[in-house]
Amino acid sequence: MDDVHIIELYWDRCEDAITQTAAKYGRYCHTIAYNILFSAEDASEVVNDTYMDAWNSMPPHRPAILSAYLGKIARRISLDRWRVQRAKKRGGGQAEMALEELSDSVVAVKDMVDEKISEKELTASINLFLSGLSVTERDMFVCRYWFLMPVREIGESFGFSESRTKSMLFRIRKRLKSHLQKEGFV
Amino acid sequence: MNGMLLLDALGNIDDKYIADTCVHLGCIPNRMCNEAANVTKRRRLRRRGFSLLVAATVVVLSILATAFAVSGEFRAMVFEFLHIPIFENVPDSGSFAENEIGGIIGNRVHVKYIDSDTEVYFTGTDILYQRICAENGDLIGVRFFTVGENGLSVLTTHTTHFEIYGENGIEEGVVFWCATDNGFAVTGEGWLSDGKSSWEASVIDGIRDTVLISVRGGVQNGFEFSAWLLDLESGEMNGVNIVGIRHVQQFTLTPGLDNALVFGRMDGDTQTIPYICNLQSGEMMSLAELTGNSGGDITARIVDGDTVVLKCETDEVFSAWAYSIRSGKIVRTADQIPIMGESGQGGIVDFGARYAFFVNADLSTAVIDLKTGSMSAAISGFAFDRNAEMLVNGSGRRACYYVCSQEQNSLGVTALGMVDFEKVEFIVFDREGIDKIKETSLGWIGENRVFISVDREFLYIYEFQ
Repeated sequence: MDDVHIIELYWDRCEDAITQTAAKYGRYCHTIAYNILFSAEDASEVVNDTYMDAWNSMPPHRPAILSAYLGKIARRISLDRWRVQRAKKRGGGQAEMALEELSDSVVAVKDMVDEKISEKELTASINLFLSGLSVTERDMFVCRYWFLMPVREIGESFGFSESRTKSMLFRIRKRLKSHLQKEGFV
Repeated sequence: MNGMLLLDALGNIDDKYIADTCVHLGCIPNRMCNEAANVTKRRRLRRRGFSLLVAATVVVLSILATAFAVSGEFRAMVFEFLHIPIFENVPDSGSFAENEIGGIIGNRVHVKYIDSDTEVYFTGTDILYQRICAENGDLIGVRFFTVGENGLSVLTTHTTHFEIYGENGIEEGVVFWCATDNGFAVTGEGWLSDGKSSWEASVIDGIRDTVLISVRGGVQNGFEFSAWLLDLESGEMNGVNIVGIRHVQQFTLTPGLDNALVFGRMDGDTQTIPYICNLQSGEMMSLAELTGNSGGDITARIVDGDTVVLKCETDEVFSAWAYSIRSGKIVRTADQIPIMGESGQGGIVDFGARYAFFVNADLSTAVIDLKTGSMSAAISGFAFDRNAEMLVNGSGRRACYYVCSQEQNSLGVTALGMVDFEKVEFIVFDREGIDKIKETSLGWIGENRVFISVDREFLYIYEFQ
C-alpha cells in the first residue's frame, strides 16, 4: 500500500493503518530502535510505541514523507528510553558512541554560549550544513548520527573500509564544528 | 549535555535527507520506494504559478540552443492537437454508488465512473488486483480484476509455488499471476527466514510463461543481489548469470533474456550507476563510463528491446544518449539542453521515457525523440501549462498529460489528455466540478485508458479513442 493511502487510513481512524504500517515499516523502525538500544526486546516495544504515537498524531499531522515521520518517532522514543537506561548504567548501543563522538569533536570545545538556545535553531543550522555536503558525505553522516548505525556497517554500505569511514566521519564532524562555530552555537 | 542537545537536534533534520539515506541503505524494499506506476499528490513538486494558456496560432520554435538533429522523417511528424471544447462535468462519487454512469466527451473520450467497492492496485496493464494479507502483513492471496462493461470483473488467479535458497536452507515461495488477452500480471513477495533478504516477483517485458524473482539483501548481508527466472508452469527456478553487483535498485531484462540493465554498485563504486550485463558471458559494462559522465543523476530505460536511453541532469541542463545493446555503440542524442524552469525560460520536460517535450519560452512545444535525437515540428495550437505533468504508459508509446490544481489534499486534475507518439496525435479536455471529490491517484490501465481514483473506492476511467 502506498504512503498516501496509509496516511488516509490513519485519518479515517481505520485500525488497518497499524497493520499496513507494520508490514511496510516495522523492520525499518525496529532497526532504528535496535541501533540505539541494542536489545531486540526493547526495540520491539519501541516499535509498538511508535505505532501508538503515529495513531495519536495522525490526525492532525499529515506527513509528507511517512518513512521519515515514523523514523523520527522511533528514534525519539528510543533515545528517551536510552536516557533512562543510561541513568541506570545499562550501556550498549550506538547512541553512547555517537554521543561521545559528537561531544568530543563538536561541542566540547566550548560550552554553549546560551544554554537556552532552541533545538529548533540548531536543527535549522544542521540542515544548512547538510545541504552543503556531497550526497555520499550526507548519507554517511545521516547513517551515523540519525540512524545511529555502527561504523562498520556504514562502511560496508558505501564499499569503504571501517578506517576510511571513521576518517571521513571525523572530517565531516570537523566541518560541522567549524560551521557551528561560525553560526555562533559553540 | 551539549552533545545530547546536538543528538536531539539531529533527530529533526529535514525529512528529505532521511528519505535519501533510506534509499541508499535499501532499508525499505525497493518496490516500496518506487510505487511509481501511478501518480499521487506527493509527486507534484515542480512548475508552479502559471495559468493554462492555449496558443491560438502556430508558433515557430526557437531552438537555437539545442543540438537536436532535424530528422526529415520525424520533423515531418506534425502532431495533431485536439483540445476538446467540452468540459467533463465530474460527478460526485456518492452520486453513482448504486449505478455505474459514464458518457462520451467530444466523441473522442469514453468515460466510465465505477464504484470498485474495494481498494485495488494497478499494474499499468488491463489487470488490477487486490492484496489479501495476513495480520502480520504477509501477502497470502491476490484477487485479479479487469475493468469490464459492468464495472470490475474478477479474473482467474493462478499460483505457482517455488523453492528458493536462503541462509537457512531451502524455503518456499509463491507467486500469484493472471493472464488475459491484453495483459499479464504477477505479484509475489516475501522475506527469507534469516530476516536479511527479501524477494519479489516482477513481469519480464514481452514474456508470459516466466517471471523474474529478485532477491535483495539489506545492510546485514552487504546488499547482495541475485536474480532468478521462475517457470510458471513447472515452478522451476533458474539463476540469472549476474554476480558481484550490490545495492541493486533496478533490474530489467531485455525481451530476449540475453542482457539486463542493472542499476547497482560493483566493487569500488561509491554510488549506484547503470550497467549492461551480458547474461551469457556475465560481463558487466558501465554505461556511466560510456557517457563520460560520472556526476549528476543518470537514469536509463530500455527502449524497443535493443536500445538503452540514458539521461543525465546536472546544473539545470539535460543530456541524453542512446546505447545500442547489439552493436555496443553509443550516440549522444541531447547535449546540455536547458531544463525547463520556473523562471520562465524554455527547456526540456522529460517524461522518464523515450520521448520528451521541448517547451519554448512562449510555451509552444515540440516532441523530442531521445532514441534518435530528432525533434518534431511544433504541436500546432498547443501551449504547455507549467503546472502540467506527464506520465508514460508501460509500453512507452503513449503519455498522459494532466494539470493539477493547487489543492493540498486532492490531485484536482483540471485538464487531462493523452499524447499518442505512434499516431502522432494529442487530445486534451478540461474538467470541472473537481472540488466535490478527493482524487487520490492517477495512472494507466493498458494502452489507452487512464484512471483517476477517487476516495480510494471509485474509479473514473477515461478511454481515449
